[in-house]
Amino acid sequence: MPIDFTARATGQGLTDPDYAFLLSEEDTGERVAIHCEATSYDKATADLRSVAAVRIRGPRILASQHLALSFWPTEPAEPALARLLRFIGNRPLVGYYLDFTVAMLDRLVQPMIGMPLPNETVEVSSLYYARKTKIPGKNAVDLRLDSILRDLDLPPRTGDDAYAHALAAAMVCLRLEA
Amino acid sequence: MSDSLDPGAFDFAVPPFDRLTPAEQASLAASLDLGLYAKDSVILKSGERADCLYVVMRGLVQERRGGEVAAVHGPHDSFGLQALFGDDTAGGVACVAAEDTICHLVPRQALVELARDNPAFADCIYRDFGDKLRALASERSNREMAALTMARIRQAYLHPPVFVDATASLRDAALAMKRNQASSVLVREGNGQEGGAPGGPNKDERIGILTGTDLRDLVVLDGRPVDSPVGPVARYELLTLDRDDLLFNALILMAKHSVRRLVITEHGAVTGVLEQADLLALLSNHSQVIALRVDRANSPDDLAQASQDIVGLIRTLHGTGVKVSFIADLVTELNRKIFRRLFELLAPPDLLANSCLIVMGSEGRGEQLLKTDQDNGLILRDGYDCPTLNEVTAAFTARLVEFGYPPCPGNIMVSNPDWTRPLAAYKDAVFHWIHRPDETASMNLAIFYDAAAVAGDASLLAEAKGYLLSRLQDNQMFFTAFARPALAFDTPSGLFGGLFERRRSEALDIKKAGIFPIVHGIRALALEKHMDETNTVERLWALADRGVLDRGFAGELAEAFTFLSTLRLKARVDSSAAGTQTDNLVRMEDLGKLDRDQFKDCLGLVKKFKEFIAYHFHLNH
Repeated sequence: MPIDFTARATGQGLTDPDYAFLLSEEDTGERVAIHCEATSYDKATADLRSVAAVRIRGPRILASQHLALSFWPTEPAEPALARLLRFIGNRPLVGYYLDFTVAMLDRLVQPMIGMPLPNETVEVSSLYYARKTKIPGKNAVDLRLDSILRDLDLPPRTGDDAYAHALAAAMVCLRLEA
Repeated sequence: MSDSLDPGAFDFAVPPFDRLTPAEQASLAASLDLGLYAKDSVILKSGERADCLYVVMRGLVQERRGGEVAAVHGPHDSFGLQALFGDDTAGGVACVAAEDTICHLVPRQALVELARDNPAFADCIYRDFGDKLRALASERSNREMAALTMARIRQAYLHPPVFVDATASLRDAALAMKRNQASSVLVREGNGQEGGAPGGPNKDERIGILTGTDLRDLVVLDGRPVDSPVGPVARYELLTLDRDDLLFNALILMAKHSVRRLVITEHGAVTGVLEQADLLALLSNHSQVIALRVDRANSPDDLAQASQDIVGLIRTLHGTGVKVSFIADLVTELNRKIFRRLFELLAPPDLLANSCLIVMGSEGRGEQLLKTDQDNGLILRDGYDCPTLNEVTAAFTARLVEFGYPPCPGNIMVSNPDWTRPLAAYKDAVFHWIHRPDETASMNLAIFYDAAAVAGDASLLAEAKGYLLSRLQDNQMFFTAFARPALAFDTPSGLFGGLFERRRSEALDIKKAGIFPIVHGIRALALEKHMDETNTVERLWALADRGVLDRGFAGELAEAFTFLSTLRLKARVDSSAAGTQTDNLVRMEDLGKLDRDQFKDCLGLVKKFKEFIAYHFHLNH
């Protein structure tokens, strides 16, 4: 399924007016770091297992208000997705390997509200790559999340779950933008 | 899915968080946010209110006040408590990330709830807060905090004492607490009933205390029946202070004994209970506190008593390790208050309205320690004539001598007509000092440049100083002559270490060798830049701000100046204790190894500064 960027940007196809807030112009000054876990890395066939999201406001990561959702094949995903969408709102999304997370979500969100997620995205590994390639040299850039954390002198991930990844992405993002 | 731990999980082994129960730790962990700050970014602006307590996870944070780094916080250290609970003017401290820093943020709400539910935790936090406040109080630029430590217990809110008889049951005690919204009750044992006034002294009675925590422990943990009497379980070793004692002492006593309340007495009778929370509320809320205790003296004799108390106070403060700059602030405040009050008591109202009492030299700079020579003067409004002027000024000088302020050897006192004259005559004198400089003129100009108004109409001094600055052209010759005394005395330097060691037993005049060169050199630079500051350290930083002095060098000089002043105070406190004349002599052999090394470093720095002055003012040509 090719992504319709025009539809994504303008919100064409939004069938559920309850989600018009996704397209709001209002600037909350916040972003949301997000990460998902799935049954495989194939975004066409994998099943979503969990999603974690945490808001970033200024230099702060609002860890105390993070959202962690689990998905089960036997349960409808809509209620959890509805919570997630309200949590995200129109905020830009931040993540590591964010394309995958967004693609996994889009597969469920598109049928639900008639359009994919319209949010801006910030890929932290791209930020990191841009930073590293500013320094001339022939060394390959190690883009593994744990390597990035180590290189930026950030605390190591303590978990393997979606929340730990989202938190790590949030920290990388803040460190690289400072 | 369960929540994972925070990356670089919050370390609950570090006080005060080690006081939390596992359940409380879990609830705190869930309420934490994270803050990431890049090197050199400002975490808390000066005067900004904080909404959370910051606990450093990684990196380094500096608390800066003016040009100085007041404190450094590394991993596990917390900061922002003053900005969280204190007044928004909490010392004008800015917190800056010295490295890339990550902090755990403990929200105010979570902290307040934990402190409410967990007394041990609250105690730890409050004690830490108390320490911080005291540290703050000893900082130079915080005059208001300085005044705070002079506040009396009387100024704090006291909970009225709630008494129960020793025969009352634990339930009665709990009921009394609830009814009076008190967190403790006082237990009266003995035949206190006939004792007349509540809390009145009674030889047969003793008074104990029972707190809410005690009750909880006794009933809930020990399973004591609620109808058992309070008498045997109350604690009778009360920590008491008089109402007129310093709040500072209350703070120290609480910290020392790890208690959260003190029983306050007046003339030996219990008048109330001082709770730590109220004490901190008062200490953290500057605007409620009057800068110093209100000057209630109605006669010069009342002042004499107050003046005598100062020496004892300085000795106490010095003894408890309070920084010398803070002591200087305090002495300045108190002395000026005494001068002002004395002048107000002696001078008729029209004289007060038409004159300005000034203090000069070290008093003007706010740097005197203990009682120094009088250096004061009176500027009269042009055209005003006071018939009783001579009596007033003579009485003023005489009274100050009586209070223990020695007369000025150079006779720079209001009783000398040369220093009590109309504004126009002061302007003439300034003109003379500038254009016909000799040794006396230079010194007069120097001390007058340091002058500060103490009583009366301060605009008179402002006009005289404005005139002084306006007469100073960029006259190289003048400044060369003015700065020269900075080099007048020899400063033995570490370069000739061996020589120095041999002269170890010789006493060194610390004022001539160290303090004066700094004071006068800085004064000359300040005068050259037409600066308004009078205090040496303030001048130092102002000069650094203008780029006259390198910031690092200014910092070192300020530190050296403070250290030398401390040594000088030490010498003076010791010698005046021994009953000898106060002097400025320091003997190397009397110094500890650390002090001696630092002393040498300071002298080396003074030497360097003198070279700078010589170069700057072309003194070698």
